[in-house]
Amino acid sequence: MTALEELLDLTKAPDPIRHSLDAADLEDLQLAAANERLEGQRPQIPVLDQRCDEVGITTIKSREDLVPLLFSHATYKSYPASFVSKGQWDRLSLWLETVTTPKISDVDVSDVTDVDGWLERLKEHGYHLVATSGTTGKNSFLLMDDADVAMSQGMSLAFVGYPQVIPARNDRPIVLLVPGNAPMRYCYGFKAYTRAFARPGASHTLTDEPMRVSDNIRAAALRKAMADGSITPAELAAAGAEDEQRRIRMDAAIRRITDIVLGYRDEPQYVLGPWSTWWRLMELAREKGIPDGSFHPGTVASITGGLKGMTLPPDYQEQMARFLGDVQRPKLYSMSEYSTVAPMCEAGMYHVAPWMTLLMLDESGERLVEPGADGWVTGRVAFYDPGWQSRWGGIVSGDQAVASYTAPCECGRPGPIIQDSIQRYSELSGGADDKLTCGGTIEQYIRGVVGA
Amino acid sequence: MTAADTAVLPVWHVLQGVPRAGTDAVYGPAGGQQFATPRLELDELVWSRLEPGPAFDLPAAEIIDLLVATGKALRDDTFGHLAEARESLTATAPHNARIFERAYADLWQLFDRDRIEFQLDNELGGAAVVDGWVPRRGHDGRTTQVRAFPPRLVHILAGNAPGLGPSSIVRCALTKGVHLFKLPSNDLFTTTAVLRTMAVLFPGHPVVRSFSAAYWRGGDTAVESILFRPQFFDKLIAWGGEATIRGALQYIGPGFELVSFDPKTSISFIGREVFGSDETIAEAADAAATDATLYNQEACVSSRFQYIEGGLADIDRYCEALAGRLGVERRTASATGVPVPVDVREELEVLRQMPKLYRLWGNYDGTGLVIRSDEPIDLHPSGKIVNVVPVESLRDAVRYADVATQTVGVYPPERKAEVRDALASAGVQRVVPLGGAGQMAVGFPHDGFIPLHRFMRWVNDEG
Repeated sequence: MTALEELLDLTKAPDPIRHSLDAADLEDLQLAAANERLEGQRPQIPVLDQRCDEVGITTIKSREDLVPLLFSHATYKSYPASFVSKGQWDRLSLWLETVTTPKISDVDVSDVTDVDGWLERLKEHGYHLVATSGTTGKNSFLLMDDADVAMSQGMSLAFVGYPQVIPARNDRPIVLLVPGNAPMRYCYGFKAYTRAFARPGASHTLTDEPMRVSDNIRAAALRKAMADGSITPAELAAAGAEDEQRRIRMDAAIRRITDIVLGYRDEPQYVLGPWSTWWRLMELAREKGIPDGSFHPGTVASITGGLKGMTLPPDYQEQMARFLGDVQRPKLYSMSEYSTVAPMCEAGMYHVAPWMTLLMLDESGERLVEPGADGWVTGRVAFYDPGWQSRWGGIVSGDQAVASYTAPCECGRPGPIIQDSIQRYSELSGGADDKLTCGGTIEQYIRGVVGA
Repeated sequence: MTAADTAVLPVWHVLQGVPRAGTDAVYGPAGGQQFATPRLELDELVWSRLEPGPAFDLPAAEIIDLLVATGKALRDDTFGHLAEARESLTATAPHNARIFERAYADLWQLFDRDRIEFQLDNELGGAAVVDGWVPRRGHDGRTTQVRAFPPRLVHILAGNAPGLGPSSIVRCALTKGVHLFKLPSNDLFTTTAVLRTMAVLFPGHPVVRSFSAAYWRGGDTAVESILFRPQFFDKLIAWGGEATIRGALQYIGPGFELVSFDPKTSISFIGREVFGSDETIAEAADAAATDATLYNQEACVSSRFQYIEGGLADIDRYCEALAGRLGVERRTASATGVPVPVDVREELEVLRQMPKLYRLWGNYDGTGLVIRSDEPIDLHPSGKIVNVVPVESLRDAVRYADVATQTVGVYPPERKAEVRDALASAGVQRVVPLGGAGQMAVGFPHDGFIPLHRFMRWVNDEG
């Protein structure tokens, strides 16, 4: 058995966090697995090969050696935007090939007409791409081959409902409060949940309409037209009207899904979705006169992600807690780039899975930061993640956290823990930067389409 | 890092001409470079509308004499104010030390008599209209007298080029108005050093009493919501800084106007004439490097993208020559700037993996980097990074100019005429010979308007 197989075998335990490996042995195993991955992936990922040459590392001997080999999370959107805006799909494939293992440029994309067509074509060849959207409208493209999909679906199931594990008995309704047919990581997870937990006929999503990445790109194209001055007032107005139509359709979908969730409220169901939809669902339930705390105590309610710029009342957490009442509220820390989530335990700490190597870095992401005398360290979160076959697993996040490799958790589980105070660096700096310069870019001359 | 490196830097305030030191308020990150200012006393910063400003009725000739005398004291740094300011400024940006040294040595030239008189002549048509009421008979036979009346201005200064504060002092003195400078955290020292020199030379002089300067955290509503009102000021003069402009907009209304030197970017156009000989390549590469490295590429005039005519092999020769000139020590650039940040480097490394589409020359160590690509890259090049993009013709390159483009340097200069109308139509404000981006024409329009003219309040006495 390779070190990698041995490490990933840990996922099969009923509670993978509660393993019995000695910390030093685990680290040896993690480094051995990282070396196995490096050996296999280096010849196939040009950017990784170049990095190894540059920093002069051929073998990872310590955690320190992993640091210069980490990729930024922006790596997967490092393609020039013009490849997409000009429909240069062969170039986009060529780019993807520099950051992933498969020979994607062999796939004929000459007749592809839009980004969804490109995603579809690659999927036909066994390359599953998930897209994540950034605030700038540029998507990250993360590739998974069939083995990666199977692995990530296994990972998705490892911590459902954590720390109280839900038995996989296909006996409950399961509801996804976002579109279910999208090139998004959660859709793969939801398929796995449905197979494991859903009562036949009781798996629902906000809509099954395919969610098109092109819609996001259209917003980017609009920005570009504003930047180069080619936009017309009529186009701006049409885009505004289209946004309004989309909002109306979305609200109708939320009303429909709200009725479904409320219909199941007397039995244990598993509902997952982002704050925005949960909040609207709560408002609609109140309009219908549903009292707070009406859900069956076996309900698993998972609210994912942050507020994403949404403005909610200061007591939004309390309001939601009252509305949901006595249900299971699992929390987890995750990023689309990682194979595995860090689930929260009963004591309110996020636990790092034993196959993931946590690296706490300085803000620039260049150096490991040593924990203080109390064993805690504040810094930028990075992981080496051995899960992926087609991508290098060393990724630096955009998040600041307080973590410890050694502090014992009240819950008694071993391994590194992260406090529930994670923030994005991009939101931390806040306030006006006083370092004024006369320099600027066209981005500063572009206003949003609606409102603003 | 030694204790001296992280000592808290003292920042002077100037209150209606009176310099004040103090360390009541400390700013900056704990453990990093901090600075301290006197307590902010808003009443001492502003002038009452109930009476005219101190210099409203002073003849321009007397103001010019004062400025020229100030220039002499700055040239000799008679009171050591400049040396002190330069040292503090350098502590906040050590990589720019040599640039600051040379910029400070040149500051006195902003106070040159010919320069100031030309500015007054060309921007306002001479001293008469600011000194008094100039009569002119209108089409209906009535005579109307006009005066460029002294304004009350609050300025939000930028800090990326040390000359901005001093040249603002000259321009503002010529208006005879009252002026409050909000200091930027990236240059807390140069403007007050000049005002302090003036205060020692001419204590209590009406021109000196017409200036205040202070630091407060940009966007601080406790200060800005009080001061940014027509009760105290006619106009807000903003130098760049998108957040600042957007923050200030909420205060703009009847009687309180925004004059914005918008945040800008600059580019270069290089014609096929560059490939005439090895000498012309060398000449253009050096001129282009001069424009790209202005203030280590931190200024709006610094060129970031270069559009070039020619075959790929030739263009690559040019790129190589350019990369070799970016790391040269110049009046307005240090040999080594800030190293390329890790995230940018990573993005460029990905491009390097696509050699059919991208080629890179140079290093990540701050000595300069050139990227050749057939489309402009997504990154905003800064820290001596230049993106060279081949074009069919300079006319064709005009599509890359937009309302954010300030300066376009053209090689050879004879080809400026061929593109200037199209560039202006796209939004460009300034066309210069390649290599001349840093030599702003004094007394001429800036950012699409005539600053001194725009600063004034134009008042009629109609007959």
